[in-house]
Amino acid sequence: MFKLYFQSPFLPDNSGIGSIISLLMYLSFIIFILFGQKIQLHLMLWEIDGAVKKLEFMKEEAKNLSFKTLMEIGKPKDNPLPELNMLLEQFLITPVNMDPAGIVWKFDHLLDVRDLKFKNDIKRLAPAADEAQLNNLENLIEASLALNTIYRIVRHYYLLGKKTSSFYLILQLQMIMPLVMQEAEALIGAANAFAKGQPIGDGVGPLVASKLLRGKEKKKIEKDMVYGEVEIEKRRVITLKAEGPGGNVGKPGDAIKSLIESNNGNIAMVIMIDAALKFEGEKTGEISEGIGAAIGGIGTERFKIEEEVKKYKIPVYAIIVKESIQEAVLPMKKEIAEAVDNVIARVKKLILEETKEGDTIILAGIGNTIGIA
Amino acid sequence: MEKKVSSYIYVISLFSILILVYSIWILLSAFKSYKEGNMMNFYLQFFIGLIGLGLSLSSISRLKKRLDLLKEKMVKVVSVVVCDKCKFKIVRRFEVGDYVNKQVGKCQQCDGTMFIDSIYAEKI
Repeated sequence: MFKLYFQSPFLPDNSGIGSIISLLMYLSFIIFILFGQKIQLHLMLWEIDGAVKKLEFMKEEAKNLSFKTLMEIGKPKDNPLPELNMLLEQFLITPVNMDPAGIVWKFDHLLDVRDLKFKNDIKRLAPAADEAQLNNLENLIEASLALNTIYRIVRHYYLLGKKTSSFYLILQLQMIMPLVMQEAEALIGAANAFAKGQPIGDGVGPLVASKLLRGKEKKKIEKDMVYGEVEIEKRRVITLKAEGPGGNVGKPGDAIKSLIESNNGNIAMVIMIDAALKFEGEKTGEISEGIGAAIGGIGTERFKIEEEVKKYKIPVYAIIVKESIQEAVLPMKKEIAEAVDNVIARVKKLILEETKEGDTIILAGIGNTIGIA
Repeated sequence: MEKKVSSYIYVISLFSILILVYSIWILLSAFKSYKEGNMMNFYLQFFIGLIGLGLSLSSISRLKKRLDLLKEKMVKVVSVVVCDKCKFKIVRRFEVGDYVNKQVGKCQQCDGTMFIDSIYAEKI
């Protein structure tokens, strides 16, 4: 009985209300056939509009945090806002790649110029900041710059899609928006960590090196890199990392090259420890072992290491600590910090298995050393 | 900011629960109308009640998801201070200026040097 009455609205001649609902159903069906794509387009635009507003809020928050930290730490005489705005719009024109031979060195040079210019600009903005604070400020402003760039790109495609009513342009933007938002949220978290000088997930490599070098003498080498010597299982281990505790990644490629050259190529192995991207479903802080130069970035540093180890036929091993892209820039999670002892145990095992007593090994802790001396 | 978030959550959850209760009441009225044979009222109340129920339940589930996400994001950063001699350990909140390997005075238990062993974020 109930079933009969329940079905009746879809039969037009059963009752008045049934006819109305049935008519509405037909109408909505026709509307969806004719204007379905337009409706979907407007829904997507509405969704992206919300995301753009959120991104705008985030980039403003990061900018305000940068300004506040500049004023607190740097104590500038003039208002740093106009120069800060200029810095947030800074860009790098990558070398032409039609003839790729020698592009690595061109890239390396441009990155050096950019780094130096960025550091000098921040030095001018924050005259009272010490070296570590300057590095932290540099990282903070870079996070703000990244957020500003993301906002500008997303807004550009949103407005372009709106102007041209291009369904496929909007569709592509809407499809990648969750990933873009995740990255933006991670960057705003990173900005807070940089402002306070807290270690981030990417710092697990330098943390391992720092733990091994505790109480040992550290010497400066190459640009923003330090190294020290430790004895592990009767082997001489030259351990290097970026110079902390300011936010810094240094130039591990140059440092490893210089250490290999100064030892006349008598290096039994190079071990690189870095944070690496985990796949969804994998546990944060898990460790994996592999072959090759474990180092991110644009590729110039990896190129230098690969060139040098090839020259002397030195085996390169990588130990990675798994984490997500967000965890890499957010304050270091407990699971990542706790992975350090396991990494050291793996290093010892690898050294015992692959080298003999008296050998010299290079161990490089790769990553941002913010909050880690 | 936290106060703003919690008041927003209270308002939304209160509103969703009100809609949920009201929808259930409308559905009950629909069945009452059905029993009485008032089919016009039954259809109207049944559809309105069903829509209200769906909307309120989806709002509550979305709120729960947001709360879970917020909980995930609520972390405190701590500094683990360890004595190099007796390994006496203190876990305290991170202070600006802390960094790993920083010496932070003498040990309370022995005369060893206390230093920051690690700094990490943990869930509250």
